[in-house]
Amino acid sequence: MNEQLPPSRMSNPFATCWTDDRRCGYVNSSEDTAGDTLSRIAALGWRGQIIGPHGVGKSALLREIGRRAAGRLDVRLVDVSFSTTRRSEMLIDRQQLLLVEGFERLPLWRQMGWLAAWSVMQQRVVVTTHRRVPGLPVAKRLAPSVACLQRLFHHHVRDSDTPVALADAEQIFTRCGGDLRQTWFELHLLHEQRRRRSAAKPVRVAYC
Amino acid sequence: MTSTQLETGAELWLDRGGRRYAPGETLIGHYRLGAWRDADLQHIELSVLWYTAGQGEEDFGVHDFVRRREANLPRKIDETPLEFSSTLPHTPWSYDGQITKVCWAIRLRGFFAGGKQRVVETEFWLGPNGDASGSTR
Repeated sequence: MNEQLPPSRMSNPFATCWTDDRRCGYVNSSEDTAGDTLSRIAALGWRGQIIGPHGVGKSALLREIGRRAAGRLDVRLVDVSFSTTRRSEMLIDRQQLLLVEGFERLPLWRQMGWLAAWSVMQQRVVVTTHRRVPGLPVAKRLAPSVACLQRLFHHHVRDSDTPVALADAEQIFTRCGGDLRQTWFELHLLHEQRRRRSAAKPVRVAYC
Repeated sequence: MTSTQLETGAELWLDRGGRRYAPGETLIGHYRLGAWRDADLQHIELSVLWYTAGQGEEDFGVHDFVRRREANLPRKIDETPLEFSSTLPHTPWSYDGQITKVCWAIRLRGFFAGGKQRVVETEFWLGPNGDASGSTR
Protein backbone atom coordinates (compact mmCIF):
# COMPACT_ATOMS: atom_id res chain seq x y z
CA MET A 1 0.00 0.00 0.00
CA ASN A 2 1.45 3.36 -1.00
CA GLU A 3 2.48 5.78 1.70
CA GLN A 4 0.00 8.65 1.63
CA LEU A 5 1.08 11.86 3.29
CA PRO A 6 -1.18 13.23 6.02
CA PRO A 7 -3.38 16.17 4.99
CA SER A 8 -1.70 19.51 5.48
CA ARG A 9 -2.09 23.17 4.53
CA MET A 10 1.18 22.69 2.61
CA SER A 11 -0.42 20.28 0.15
CA ASN A 12 -2.28 22.92 -1.85
CA PRO A 13 -0.72 26.33 -2.70
CA PHE A 14 -4.17 27.80 -3.45
CA ALA A 15 -5.69 27.15 -0.03
CA THR A 16 -7.23 30.25 1.52
CA CYS A 17 -4.56 30.35 4.20
CA TRP A 18 -2.03 31.22 1.44
CA THR A 19 -4.16 33.33 -0.93
CA ASP A 20 -6.00 35.45 1.61
CA ASP A 21 -4.97 39.09 1.25
CA ARG A 22 -4.09 39.23 4.93
CA ARG A 23 -1.43 36.62 4.21
CA CYS A 24 0.03 37.60 0.87
CA GLY A 25 -0.62 41.33 0.99
CA TYR A 26 -1.19 43.76 -1.83
CA VAL A 27 0.53 43.25 -5.16
CA ASN A 28 1.03 46.24 -7.40
CA SER A 29 -0.39 45.60 -10.83
CA SER A 30 0.43 48.89 -12.45
CA GLU A 31 2.85 51.78 -12.23
CA ASP A 32 0.61 53.31 -9.57
CA THR A 33 1.80 51.67 -6.36
CA ALA A 34 0.36 51.39 -2.88
CA GLY A 35 2.79 54.10 -1.85
CA ASP A 36 1.39 56.39 -4.56
CA THR A 37 -2.13 55.75 -3.30
CA LEU A 38 -1.06 56.56 0.23
CA SER A 39 0.51 59.83 -0.90
CA ARG A 40 -2.68 60.73 -2.75
CA ILE A 41 -4.81 60.03 0.33
CA ALA A 42 -2.52 62.15 2.48
CA ALA A 43 -2.75 64.99 -0.03
CA LEU A 44 -6.56 64.71 0.08
CA GLY A 45 -6.52 65.29 3.84
CA TRP A 46 -6.65 61.56 4.69
CA ARG A 47 -10.10 61.12 3.14
CA GLY A 48 -10.89 58.88 0.20
CA GLN A 49 -12.48 55.80 -1.33
CA ILE A 50 -11.06 52.76 -3.07
CA ILE A 51 -13.41 51.51 -5.74
CA GLY A 52 -13.48 48.12 -7.45
CA PRO A 53 -15.42 44.89 -8.03
CA HIS A 54 -15.29 41.69 -5.98
CA GLY A 55 -11.93 40.04 -5.42
CA VAL A 56 -9.85 42.70 -7.14
CA GLY A 57 -7.69 43.56 -4.14
CA LYS A 58 -9.46 46.45 -2.40
CA SER A 59 -9.12 44.93 1.06
CA ALA A 60 -5.47 44.09 0.47
CA LEU A 61 -4.76 47.66 -0.62
CA LEU A 62 -6.67 49.12 2.34
CA ARG A 63 -4.68 47.00 4.78
CA GLU A 64 -1.43 47.95 3.08
CA ILE A 65 -2.37 51.62 3.42
CA GLY A 66 -3.17 51.05 7.08
CA ARG A 67 0.17 49.34 7.63
CA ARG A 68 2.10 52.17 5.99
CA ALA A 69 0.09 54.93 7.66
CA ALA A 70 0.53 53.39 11.11
CA GLY A 71 3.89 55.07 11.45
CA ARG A 72 2.32 58.50 10.96
CA LEU A 73 -1.19 58.17 12.38
CA ASP A 74 -3.20 56.12 14.81
CA VAL A 75 -5.15 53.76 12.54
CA ARG A 76 -8.45 51.98 13.23
CA LEU A 77 -9.81 49.29 10.91
CA VAL A 78 -13.49 48.35 10.75
CA ASP A 79 -14.64 45.40 8.67
CA VAL A 80 -18.34 45.88 8.01
CA SER A 81 -18.91 42.15 7.42
CA PHE A 82 -17.83 41.33 10.98
CA SER A 83 -18.92 44.51 12.70
CA THR A 84 -22.26 45.87 13.77
CA THR A 85 -20.90 49.33 12.90
CA ARG A 86 -21.40 50.76 16.31
CA ARG A 87 -21.12 54.50 16.66
CA SER A 88 -18.01 54.05 18.78
CA GLU A 89 -16.35 52.24 15.87
CA MET A 90 -17.39 54.61 13.08
CA LEU A 91 -16.95 57.94 14.87
CA ILE A 92 -13.52 58.17 16.41
CA ASP A 93 -10.98 60.84 17.24
CA ARG A 94 -10.65 63.02 14.12
CA GLN A 95 -6.88 62.84 14.48
CA GLN A 96 -7.07 59.09 13.94
CA LEU A 97 -7.44 57.44 10.56
CA LEU A 98 -10.53 55.25 10.15
CA LEU A 99 -10.36 52.49 7.53
CA VAL A 100 -13.72 50.96 6.61
CA GLU A 101 -13.71 47.70 4.68
CA GLY A 102 -16.85 46.74 2.81
CA PHE A 103 -18.69 50.05 3.04
CA GLU A 104 -21.08 48.93 0.28
CA ARG A 105 -22.48 46.22 2.59
CA LEU A 106 -24.25 48.88 4.64
CA PRO A 107 -27.81 49.87 3.71
CA LEU A 108 -27.89 53.05 1.63
CA TRP A 109 -29.47 55.12 4.39
CA ARG A 110 -26.68 54.11 6.79
CA GLN A 111 -24.04 54.97 4.23
CA MET A 112 -25.54 58.46 3.80
CA GLY A 113 -25.72 58.90 7.56
CA TRP A 114 -22.08 58.00 8.14
CA LEU A 115 -20.89 60.10 5.21
CA ALA A 116 -22.75 63.12 6.57
CA ALA A 117 -21.41 62.57 10.09
CA TRP A 118 -17.83 62.17 8.83
CA SER A 119 -18.18 65.36 6.81
CA VAL A 120 -19.42 67.36 9.78
CA MET A 121 -16.73 65.98 12.07
CA GLN A 122 -14.00 66.21 9.44
CA GLN A 123 -13.22 62.57 10.18
CA ARG A 124 -10.14 61.11 8.48
CA VAL A 125 -11.57 58.08 6.70
CA VAL A 126 -10.86 55.75 3.78
CA VAL A 127 -13.47 53.24 2.62
CA THR A 128 -13.61 50.40 0.13
CA THR A 129 -16.67 50.20 -2.03
CA HIS A 130 -18.00 48.67 -5.24
CA ARG A 131 -19.49 51.93 -6.52
CA ARG A 132 -18.54 55.53 -6.03
CA VAL A 133 -20.09 57.13 -2.96
CA PRO A 134 -20.68 60.88 -2.63
CA GLY A 135 -18.70 63.02 -0.27
CA LEU A 136 -15.35 61.22 -0.47
CA PRO A 137 -12.69 61.78 -3.14
CA VAL A 138 -11.61 58.81 -5.26
CA ALA A 139 -8.17 57.66 -4.13
CA LYS A 140 -7.91 54.60 -6.32
CA ARG A 141 -9.92 52.64 -8.87
CA LEU A 142 -9.00 48.98 -9.14
CA ALA A 143 -9.74 46.80 -12.13
CA PRO A 144 -9.06 43.10 -12.78
CA SER A 145 -5.50 42.62 -13.99
CA VAL A 146 -3.89 39.59 -15.61
CA ALA A 147 -0.48 41.00 -14.66
CA CYS A 148 -1.48 40.93 -10.99
CA LEU A 149 -2.76 37.36 -11.36
CA GLN A 150 0.53 36.28 -12.94
CA ARG A 151 2.61 37.79 -10.15
CA LEU A 152 0.47 36.24 -7.44
CA PHE A 153 0.37 32.85 -9.20
CA HIS A 154 4.15 32.64 -9.40
CA HIS A 155 4.41 33.76 -5.78
CA HIS A 156 2.08 30.98 -4.59
CA VAL A 157 3.53 28.10 -6.61
CA ARG A 158 7.24 28.89 -6.31
CA ASP A 159 7.80 26.46 -3.41
CA SER A 160 5.06 24.06 -4.35
CA ASP A 161 4.62 21.09 -6.66
CA THR A 162 1.32 21.63 -8.45
CA PRO A 163 -0.19 20.15 -11.61
CA VAL A 164 -1.87 23.51 -12.28
CA ALA A 165 -0.29 25.79 -14.88
CA LEU A 166 -0.40 29.55 -15.36
CA ALA A 167 -2.48 29.02 -18.49
CA ASP A 168 -5.13 27.31 -16.33
CA ALA A 169 -5.13 30.26 -13.95
CA GLU A 170 -5.50 32.79 -16.76
CA GLN A 171 -8.37 30.86 -18.28
CA ILE A 172 -10.21 30.65 -14.97
CA PHE A 173 -9.50 34.29 -14.17
CA THR A 174 -11.11 35.36 -17.45
CA ARG A 175 -14.11 33.11 -16.89
CA CYS A 176 -14.55 34.52 -13.36
CA GLY A 177 -14.58 38.08 -14.71
CA GLY A 178 -11.39 39.02 -12.94
CA ASP A 179 -12.53 37.94 -9.47
CA LEU A 180 -9.28 36.82 -7.81
CA ARG A 181 -11.00 35.28 -4.82
CA GLN A 182 -13.16 33.04 -7.00
CA THR A 183 -10.15 32.24 -9.17
CA TRP A 184 -8.20 30.92 -6.18
CA PHE A 185 -11.20 28.80 -5.13
CA GLU A 186 -11.37 27.17 -8.55
CA LEU A 187 -7.62 26.66 -8.77
CA HIS A 188 -7.70 25.03 -5.36
CA LEU A 189 -10.26 22.52 -6.60
CA LEU A 190 -8.40 21.94 -9.88
CA HIS A 191 -5.19 21.22 -7.98
CA GLU A 192 -6.97 18.64 -5.82
CA GLN A 193 -8.66 16.96 -8.75
CA ARG A 194 -5.47 16.63 -10.81
CA ARG A 195 -3.43 15.52 -7.83
CA ARG A 196 -5.87 12.69 -7.21
CA ARG A 197 -6.01 11.78 -10.87
CA SER A 198 -2.23 11.49 -11.08
CA ALA A 199 -2.14 9.31 -7.96
CA ALA A 200 -4.81 6.91 -9.26
CA LYS A 201 -3.68 3.47 -10.24
CA PRO A 202 -5.12 1.60 -13.21
CA VAL A 203 -7.65 -1.02 -12.24
CA ARG A 204 -7.24 -4.55 -13.52
CA VAL A 205 -10.35 -6.55 -14.03
CA ALA A 206 -10.14 -10.32 -14.26
CA TYR A 207 -12.92 -12.39 -15.72
CA CYS A 208 -13.27 -15.95 -14.57
CA MET B 1 11.33 8.10 12.32
CA THR B 2 9.99 11.03 10.35
CA SER B 3 11.32 14.51 10.84
CA THR B 4 10.23 17.92 9.65
CA GLN B 5 12.46 20.89 9.76
CA LEU B 6 10.66 23.93 8.39
CA GLU B 7 13.47 26.19 9.44
CA THR B 8 17.01 25.22 10.32
CA GLY B 9 17.52 24.89 14.04
CA ALA B 10 15.00 22.68 15.75
CA GLU B 11 13.85 19.19 14.86
CA LEU B 12 10.56 17.51 15.62
CA TRP B 13 9.58 13.94 14.84
CA LEU B 14 7.14 11.16 15.64
CA ASP B 15 7.98 7.65 16.67
CA ARG B 16 5.95 6.11 13.89
CA GLY B 17 7.26 6.17 10.36
CA GLY B 18 3.84 6.07 8.70
CA ARG B 19 2.50 8.72 11.06
CA ARG B 20 -0.83 6.91 11.44
CA TYR B 21 -2.64 6.81 14.76
CA ALA B 22 -5.98 5.48 15.89
CA PRO B 23 -8.33 7.42 18.20
CA GLY B 24 -7.30 6.94 21.81
CA GLU B 25 -3.78 5.85 20.96
CA THR B 26 -0.77 7.41 22.62
CA LEU B 27 1.31 9.54 20.32
CA ILE B 28 5.00 9.63 21.15
CA GLY B 29 7.55 11.93 19.61
CA HIS B 30 10.83 13.70 20.20
CA TYR B 31 12.32 17.11 19.63
CA ARG B 32 15.70 18.71 19.68
CA LEU B 33 16.21 22.48 19.89
CA GLY B 34 19.56 22.60 18.10
CA ALA B 35 20.57 26.02 16.80
CA TRP B 36 17.56 27.69 18.40
CA ARG B 37 19.62 27.65 21.58
CA ASP B 38 22.11 30.05 19.96
CA ALA B 39 19.40 32.53 19.01
CA ASP B 40 18.47 33.68 22.51
CA LEU B 41 15.57 31.31 23.00
CA GLN B 42 13.25 32.39 25.82
CA HIS B 43 10.75 29.57 25.99
CA ILE B 44 9.02 26.97 23.86
CA GLU B 45 5.49 25.69 23.39
CA LEU B 46 4.71 22.17 22.28
CA SER B 47 1.16 21.45 21.16
CA VAL B 48 -0.92 18.71 19.59
CA LEU B 49 -3.63 20.31 17.52
CA TRP B 50 -5.95 20.03 14.55
CA TYR B 51 -6.80 22.66 11.99
CA THR B 52 -8.86 22.92 8.84
CA ALA B 53 -7.32 23.89 5.51
CA GLY B 54 -8.68 24.44 2.04
CA GLN B 55 -11.30 26.91 0.89
CA GLY B 56 -12.49 29.40 3.49
CA GLU B 57 -11.36 30.49 6.91
CA GLU B 58 -9.28 28.15 9.05
CA ASP B 59 -10.61 26.64 12.23
CA PHE B 60 -8.47 24.89 14.80
CA GLY B 61 -8.48 23.16 18.16
CA VAL B 62 -5.65 22.50 20.61
CA HIS B 63 -5.78 19.06 22.17
CA ASP B 64 -2.62 19.15 24.26
CA PHE B 65 -0.26 21.95 25.18
CA VAL B 66 2.86 22.42 27.25
CA ARG B 67 5.08 25.46 27.76
CA ARG B 68 8.66 25.31 28.99
CA ARG B 69 10.64 28.32 30.14
CA GLU B 70 14.25 28.92 29.22
CA ALA B 71 15.50 27.90 32.65
CA ASN B 72 14.01 24.47 32.14
CA LEU B 73 15.36 23.89 28.67
CA PRO B 74 18.25 21.46 28.18
CA ARG B 75 21.73 22.80 27.71
CA LYS B 76 23.04 22.54 24.20
CA ILE B 77 26.10 20.62 25.27
CA ASP B 78 23.92 17.81 26.50
CA GLU B 79 21.04 17.99 24.10
CA THR B 80 19.69 14.51 23.80
CA PRO B 81 16.25 14.45 22.17
CA LEU B 82 13.43 15.21 24.53
CA GLU B 83 10.41 12.96 24.50
CA PHE B 84 6.79 14.00 24.61
CA SER B 85 3.59 12.00 24.53
CA SER B 86 -0.11 12.63 24.30
CA THR B 87 -3.18 10.42 24.36
CA LEU B 88 -5.10 11.30 21.24
CA PRO B 89 -8.85 11.99 21.29
CA HIS B 90 -11.52 10.14 19.36
CA THR B 91 -12.39 13.05 17.07
CA PRO B 92 -12.08 14.82 14.77
CA TRP B 93 -10.55 12.36 12.33
CA SER B 94 -8.07 13.45 9.71
CA TYR B 95 -9.76 14.12 6.39
CA ASP B 96 -8.16 14.78 3.03
CA GLY B 97 -11.04 16.30 1.10
CA GLN B 98 -11.09 18.30 -2.11
CA ILE B 99 -12.82 21.34 -0.63
CA THR B 100 -11.58 21.15 2.92
CA LYS B 101 -9.15 19.11 4.99
CA VAL B 102 -8.93 18.28 8.66
CA CYS B 103 -5.26 18.16 9.57
CA TRP B 104 -3.66 16.89 12.76
CA ALA B 105 -0.19 18.08 13.71
CA ILE B 106 2.32 18.49 16.46
CA ARG B 107 3.79 21.95 16.63
CA LEU B 108 6.93 23.24 18.30
CA ARG B 109 7.01 27.02 18.65
CA GLY B 110 10.07 28.89 19.87
CA PHE B 111 9.91 32.36 21.38
CA PHE B 112 13.05 34.47 21.13
CA ALA B 113 14.25 37.77 22.53
CA GLY B 114 12.84 40.72 20.61
CA GLY B 115 9.50 39.03 20.07
CA LYS B 116 10.56 36.70 17.24
CA GLN B 117 8.98 33.31 16.85
CA ARG B 118 9.86 30.18 14.88
CA VAL B 119 7.62 27.19 14.23
CA VAL B 120 8.31 23.58 13.32
CA GLU B 121 5.34 21.38 12.52
CA THR B 122 4.76 17.72 11.67
CA GLU B 123 1.43 16.36 10.45
CA PHE B 124 0.02 12.92 11.18
CA TRP B 125 -3.08 10.83 10.44
CA LEU B 126 -5.76 10.29 13.07
CA GLY B 127 -8.54 7.86 12.23
CA PRO B 128 -9.82 4.31 12.58
CA ASN B 129 -7.01 1.91 11.87
CA GLY B 130 -4.90 5.03 11.66
CA ASP B 131 -6.30 5.90 8.22
CA ALA B 132 -9.24 8.18 7.44
CA SER B 133 -8.51 9.32 3.92
CA GLY B 134 -11.35 11.10 2.22
CA SER B 135 -9.80 10.97 -1.19
CA THR B 136 -11.47 9.13 -3.99
CA ARG B 137 -9.43 7.13 -6.41
